[in-house]
Amino acid sequence: MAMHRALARKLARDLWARKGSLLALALIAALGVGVFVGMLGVNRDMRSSRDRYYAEYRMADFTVDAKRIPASAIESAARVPNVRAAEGRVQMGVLIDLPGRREPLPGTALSQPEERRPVLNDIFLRSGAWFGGRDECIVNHAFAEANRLKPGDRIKVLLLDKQHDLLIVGTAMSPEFVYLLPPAGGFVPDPQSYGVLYLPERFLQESADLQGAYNQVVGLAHDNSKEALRAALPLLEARLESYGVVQSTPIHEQPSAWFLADELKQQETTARILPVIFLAVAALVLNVVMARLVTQQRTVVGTLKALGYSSAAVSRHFLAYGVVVGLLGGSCGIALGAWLEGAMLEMYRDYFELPGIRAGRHLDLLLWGLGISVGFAVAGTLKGVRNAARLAPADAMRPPPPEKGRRVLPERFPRLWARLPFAWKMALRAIFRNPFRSSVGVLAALISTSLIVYVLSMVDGMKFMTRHEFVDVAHQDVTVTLRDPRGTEALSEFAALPGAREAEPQLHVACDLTYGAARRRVGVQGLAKGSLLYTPLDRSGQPVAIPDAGLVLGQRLAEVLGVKAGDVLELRPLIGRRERVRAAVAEIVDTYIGLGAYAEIGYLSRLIGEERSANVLVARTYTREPSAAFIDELRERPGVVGVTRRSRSLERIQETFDQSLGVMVGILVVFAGSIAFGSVLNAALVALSERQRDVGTLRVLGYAPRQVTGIFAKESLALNALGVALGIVAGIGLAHVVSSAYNTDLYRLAVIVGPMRLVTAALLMAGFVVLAQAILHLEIRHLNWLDVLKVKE
Amino acid sequence: MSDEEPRSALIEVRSATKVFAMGEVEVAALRGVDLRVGDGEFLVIVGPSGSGKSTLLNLLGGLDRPTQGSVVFQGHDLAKASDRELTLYRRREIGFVFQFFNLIPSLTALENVQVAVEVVADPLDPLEALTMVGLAERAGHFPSQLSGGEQQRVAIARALASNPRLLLCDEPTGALDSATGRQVLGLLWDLHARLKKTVVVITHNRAIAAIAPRVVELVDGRVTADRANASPAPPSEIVY
Repeated sequence: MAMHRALARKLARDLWARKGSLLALALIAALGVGVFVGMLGVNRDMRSSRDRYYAEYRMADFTVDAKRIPASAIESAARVPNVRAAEGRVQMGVLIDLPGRREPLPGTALSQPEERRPVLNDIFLRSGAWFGGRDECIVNHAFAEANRLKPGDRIKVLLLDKQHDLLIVGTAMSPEFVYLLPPAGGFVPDPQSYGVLYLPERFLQESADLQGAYNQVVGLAHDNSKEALRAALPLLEARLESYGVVQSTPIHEQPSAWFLADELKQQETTARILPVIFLAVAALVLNVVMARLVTQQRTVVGTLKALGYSSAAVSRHFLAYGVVVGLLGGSCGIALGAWLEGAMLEMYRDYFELPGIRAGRHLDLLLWGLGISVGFAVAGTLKGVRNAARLAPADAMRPPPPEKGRRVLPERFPRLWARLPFAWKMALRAIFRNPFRSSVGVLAALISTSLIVYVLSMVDGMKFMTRHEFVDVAHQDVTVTLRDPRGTEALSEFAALPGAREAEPQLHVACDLTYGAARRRVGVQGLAKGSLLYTPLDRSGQPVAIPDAGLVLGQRLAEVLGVKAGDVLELRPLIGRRERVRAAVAEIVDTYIGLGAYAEIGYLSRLIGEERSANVLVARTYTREPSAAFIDELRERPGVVGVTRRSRSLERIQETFDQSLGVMVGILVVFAGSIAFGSVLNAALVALSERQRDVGTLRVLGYAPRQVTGIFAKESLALNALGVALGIVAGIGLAHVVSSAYNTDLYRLAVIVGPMRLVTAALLMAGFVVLAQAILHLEIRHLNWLDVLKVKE
Repeated sequence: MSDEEPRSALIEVRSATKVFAMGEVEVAALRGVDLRVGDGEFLVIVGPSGSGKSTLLNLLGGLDRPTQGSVVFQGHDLAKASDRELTLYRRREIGFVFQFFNLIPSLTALENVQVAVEVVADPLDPLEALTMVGLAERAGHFPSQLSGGEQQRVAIARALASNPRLLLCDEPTGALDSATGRQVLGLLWDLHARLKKTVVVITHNRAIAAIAPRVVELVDGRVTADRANASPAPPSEIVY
């Protein structure tokens, strides 16, 4: 863009004179670009490292669980259409006994070949070596680190009721467990309390009573799209039917892959929406600033044109302001993005076991970041540029017509108006006579407030969900999981454990529910009537009543299946005899757990062809924390595959909230605050530049600087009060929209917006506004008001 | 304040100098000015542009401090007053009238008067002040809806409304045609006569000096003449 030397110098000086205002705008743009560059960068880094990891370690496209599949049958599985490769392996729930840990830890054992060779769901050895003998294991790296285990250590592992003393020979990571959720619940991995062990294939087969056979088929597909797998898996299930197929899981539903994909999708959405909001606000505010600049430089524009500068040259001159702000915002944004990328990857490394995630170089993203920043900023100057281009030189040389004395809306209420102090009259007239500027101010406050309200409500929502799950619904101190359902008389034996106060049985059964063409796999919880230790609640906080017969379905599940109370659906349990039976829908309740279903434990037992039986026991102890003796006794009971203390799960989630949520909230609040600050500051500076003369007059009349600032602050106060009020409503709305967008099969996030949070949001906003006004106050104090009065505008 | 000073002095400037640093050169606007303004006086200060008359008015009005010398108002030296004290001084004791009126464009005539009233303890009623300048029926008009003379009358009403002891007028007719200018001067004279206000008018226009009982001439930052005018002309009769 060619520009005349003199104009370039004028540009530089004008920019310098407005450095505070332009920096505030560049800051907003920089935040937008930073989020864009940083989050999309993180997204690419994680996506490429995931894809590399999945490819290199042959992440399976599907898994089929069955009772017992002979090695010979694996061959035939591989011949099902769309199946590219199939391998058998053994998977088994185990209990790991670590010295120094009170309760045995749940774990999953998986088979690996005795001699290392490439397999599906291969493991990446982080330390140590491959198996050299029988009683050896490789443990997953995060578990080893969290529990300070290393090759050469020995651990006690309970495999099918027989305890083995295993030598750890190595630690490893696997594409299968990038995000390893503990069976105890919650949203975050807990490597200290849940581990995966890899054992030599033959040893595990023998220990699992599966000599020469497997209980899982993992495979690759030619086409691993959702649709293709959805078509292929039933065929595969049919092929393996005779081996007792329990379930098949496509990669999209594999928990770790699912969670990771979900996280990547969210990153992408955020990285596209937030920058647009930030850059749009920056552009709108810039519009206000540029329109004022051109008005202020009216005679300069006229003189330039009179001297023979073309309208195009003048337009280019004013466009250049936008380009400079855009470039400044863009380059600061790129730097911010690089920092954000590093910080986010650091955080992700704590939760995602993904080898080789590092910040990549994304030149195209940087260019895009710079490009959108300049683009928005240039769009922000267009109004001013058009005004400058349109000014006829003769008109421009004359001062602008005086401000029109026009009545504004509030003056239609004369009684009220008459009572207002003049400062409010000034403020209200300024607001109503500059509708565009006022709207931008309200919009910026609205956006900042709604972001803050949304963030705070998200935190409260997650805290509420945790409380709901671990405090309001669950009251037990300890949960014991059994491998297979057993008659509920077994309960008495647990109730007699030292320190046990009461115990209740539960029966957890994974079932396929079918109604017409709709089918869903869900976990059905069988509860005893009048259960006190575990009381599901609906969204209004009322306990869910368990009927004698029939199922209670969560709202979301009922919608997915298209059933209503009274309908009869087909139920196929994935344990026991796995026969299809008919079950009536007794009631539909609105709960947070999306696909939840409940039934009376005896009724559910009959559905799976058993007498009243249980595979989970919840117990309360006298000490709240189960005693060592209680846990020790449990260790010796056969069939126990998990012991979880409720307090431990709660602590772990609490820890995560304190660590990462606080930082995220802080960052977003600062981001939101920057919008408010930048917008308020610029609006105030524009107002000051228009009304410098009023400042002079007021000072002469004996107004102290503080009083003058007070008069200017009223305009800001009124606009921001409106913006904050609307922003609170918008923020609550946003929280509801996001919550229903997250209304996945997993859970539904509660929308909790406590009045204190709204007060917090309003106070934060007040803080940002006060900060901007403080800068205005300095400007007013240092304004040379005597000179301002000497010249006629 | 010494005992020899006449009791009727409202404000007194003593050997005041004022030097402005204009970039790298220093410009002396006042070079040792002595001026005593008696309580209830009507005084015109005349001088060509650059004579330092605005600077002198600024010192009288507490808008600025002298580089040397003192400005004593009722025993208080304004040269030593803090910003805050000067602000209070302007608020309570001074009414300003400017060449370009300096009304706030977004406020009506009445509201512009209210601006002055809201920060003082015993003001006049704003509407009464407007009535005094004959603009009661224009109270709801914005400055852009008023003629220049009307705007200046609103400014005078505003200056009066805080009930000040001293009315300082900086070229009050400078932006007006002569007929309107005469009306404004007439109004100032009238207020002086009726309300016993002390009025200081500065102007470059010698013709205006004819209306004042006392005229001070200022040239190059020095008082070159200070004379009494035994028979001041009525403002309606002067020609300029």
